[in-house]
Amino acid sequence: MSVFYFIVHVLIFIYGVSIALWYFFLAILSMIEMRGYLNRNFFVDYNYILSSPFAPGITLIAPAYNEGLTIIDNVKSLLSIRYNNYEVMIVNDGSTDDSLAKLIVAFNLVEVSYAYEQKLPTKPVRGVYKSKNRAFSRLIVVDKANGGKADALNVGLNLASESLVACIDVDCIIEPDALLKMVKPFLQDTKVIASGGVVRIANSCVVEDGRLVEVKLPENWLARFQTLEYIRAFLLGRMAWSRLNGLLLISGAFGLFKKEIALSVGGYNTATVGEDMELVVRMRRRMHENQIPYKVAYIPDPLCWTEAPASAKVLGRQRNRWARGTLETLMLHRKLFFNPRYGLMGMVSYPFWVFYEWLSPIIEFCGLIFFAFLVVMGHVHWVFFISLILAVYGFAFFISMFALLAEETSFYKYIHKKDILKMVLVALVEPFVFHPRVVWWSLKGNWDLLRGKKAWGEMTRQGFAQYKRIYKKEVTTVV
Amino acid sequence: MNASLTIWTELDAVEQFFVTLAAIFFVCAVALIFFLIGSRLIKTYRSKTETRLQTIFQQSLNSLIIHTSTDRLPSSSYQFHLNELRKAMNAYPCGRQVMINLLIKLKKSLSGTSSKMLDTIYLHLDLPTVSKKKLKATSWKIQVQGIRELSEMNYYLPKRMNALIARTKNETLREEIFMAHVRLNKKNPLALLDRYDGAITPWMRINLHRFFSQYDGRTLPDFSRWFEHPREDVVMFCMSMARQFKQFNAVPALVKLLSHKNPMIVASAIRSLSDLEAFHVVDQVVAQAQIHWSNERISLRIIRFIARLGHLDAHTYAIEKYLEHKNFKVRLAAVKTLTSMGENAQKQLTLRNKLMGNRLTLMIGHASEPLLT
Repeated sequence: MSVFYFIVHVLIFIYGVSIALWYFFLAILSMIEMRGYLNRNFFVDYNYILSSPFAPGITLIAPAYNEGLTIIDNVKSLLSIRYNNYEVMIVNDGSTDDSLAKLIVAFNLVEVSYAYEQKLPTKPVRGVYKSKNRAFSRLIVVDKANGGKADALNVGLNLASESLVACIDVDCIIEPDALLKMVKPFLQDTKVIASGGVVRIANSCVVEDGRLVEVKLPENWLARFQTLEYIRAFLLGRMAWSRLNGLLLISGAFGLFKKEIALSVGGYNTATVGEDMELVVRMRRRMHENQIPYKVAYIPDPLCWTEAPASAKVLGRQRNRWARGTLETLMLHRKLFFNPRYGLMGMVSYPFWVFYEWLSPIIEFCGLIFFAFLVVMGHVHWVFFISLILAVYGFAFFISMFALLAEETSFYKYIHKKDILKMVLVALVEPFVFHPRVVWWSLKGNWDLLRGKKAWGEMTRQGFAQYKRIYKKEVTTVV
Repeated sequence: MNASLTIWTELDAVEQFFVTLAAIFFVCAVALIFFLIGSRLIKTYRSKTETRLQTIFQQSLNSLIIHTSTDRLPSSSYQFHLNELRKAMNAYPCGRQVMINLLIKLKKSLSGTSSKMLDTIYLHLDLPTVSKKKLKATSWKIQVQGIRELSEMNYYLPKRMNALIARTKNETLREEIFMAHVRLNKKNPLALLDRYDGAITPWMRINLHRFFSQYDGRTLPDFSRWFEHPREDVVMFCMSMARQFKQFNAVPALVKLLSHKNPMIVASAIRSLSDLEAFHVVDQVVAQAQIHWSNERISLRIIRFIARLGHLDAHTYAIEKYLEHKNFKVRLAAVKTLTSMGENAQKQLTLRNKLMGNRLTLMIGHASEPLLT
């Protein structure tokens, strides 16, 4: 029995040390890449792209399902993005609410005869609408039978007329300069096939006419935990993978792709709920298999703001879906696992995802079960346990502070003086309050996938309108 | 203290290791918190100082610029304002940098004598020394900053920077030196192109186009000079510039490029000929359809070239052939062209559609839709 304990201890110890070292390495690498990015772009005047005839065309594809509450504001926001050569394609994915009717009235839409090539198989398109008002000439609304987000994005890919496609969530707030910044990697290096942007949490931020006018730390604690989590993931994780050219995930909320490559690999996979990661992995695989040099770029600027789930129920559904999406993608592309043919992606990125993204909640849970077993058996050496927990907790806190440092030395978005202290408090509490729940939701997601669950899971949102109202009320009171 | 020491001595080596590790992490984390707070305070102070300095500088600069535009600036007044600027600049360590940044910012929105006045102020305040010092820095970012400042303020770039362009592997630095040369070498801005072995990226193309847009068209370089450059990206860049700046004298050289082995260059040449309205070479352009039939880009360019003729002529047969092209985009472009070419072309299209078993009906509907044009 003691040999068994020893082996388990050693294995868990090796896993723990390796994960800590990896995260530390990624954090350092991220900081280096971030400095490089900021230095490279210190003198860049993005307005040059705005006024240039050489700026490539972009089709913004935004699938919408039952977004009637906010869709008009969201579309207005998309139409006011600063870029000259772009079109906005809203794909109404068979909404059962009044989304389409609202769009028709608000933008004076009429159905048009639109010829397109069905390169990707999708659910039938019921109609294509254009505005009679020249002010909205960039807008195309596509109405189709319900088929899910991936299917709606594929319709967008079929109908897109520009060479680059930006796939976004319609309920996100996109910064006015987002396209100018996202397109730059494509201009600087023709090998770039996709670029991803940072997604930030918009809860409690002041939103006016679909524009973010003031960044605030969320008032809701669950959203606050996610704010820290997003900063850690986007600024410390993905930035490092971008440096290594090993990025496997571009968030579905905002990503820019070369249309021809996305089409050539078959577009989004409708059979998975992790369609964003799956597409990137498939694109990269294709480039490797055809031995074409390529890059997947990443922009650390906060370009896209999303409303984080403010209730545990909705957040649980989201994390469940993320876990299922990750496992589905990893299973679909298991050929990559330690396959030298796929270079860094096969030898490092993919195994990292397997061991430290997918496996970590399972190992954590097993560790807890094992710990409970040891407690029952009376084999716990409590002093050792406390010292170990202290080291782990200290590391988690340190990494969170490192993420805040990355934020402070780069984009410096949370400018209120008390924000630092609030975030420090969040970092102290998070490992006990938030992290265990994330682990549980991930486990449940894996379990649900094994049971054959395929549903997306309803994402109820409160909408940005509430923050606007609060803001206006405050202004009125002050006046 | 004694109690802590007792606990510490009671721990075994592994436990001591973990506790030490935890202490290191906590100390580092706390240090980071202090750093964050310190950084906030410094940023706030710096931002306030810069705003204050900018306001002071702006006042003197405004008077100087206004006087220049009205041509009523006595030397004593100029010296007075200059001294004011010097005093304010030297009062703060960041004063000189704030001044340089402000001058560059103002230069972007000014031209003519006012812009020249800013160059003179830069010189008289001895700011080139600050910029030149940056060229010796080890950090490439500082070097780039120095190069940018010197070139924006129309100073000169030391000759050793020419050698650096060939030596450095840093793309940003190479691009910056290249751009500085273009900005500073007014007589022959693209002189460096002959020996520049870096890529002319689309981003550089945007920057160069922006720069040349501010040029007097008559003094622009003749871009066709580089149409036979060994680097294809240079050829592509020069074609796009010749097209944008309507250099009609480039047409003969563009016709020669129609026989280039790279289809991208052929496509770009056709586009340039189309934009330069060189319709007299329509035969040579249409002849490319035979050679590059399956190439989507070239096919589209040929169709658009014929479309710009705007009427039915002997070459419309080529478009009709494209109606049966395997590529959807090409077929749609051909339909759109025929739809826009008047009644006779539309009749021909209708007839063709019937012969093709109404396979073009949807495309004709699309092409006839006014909201989609």
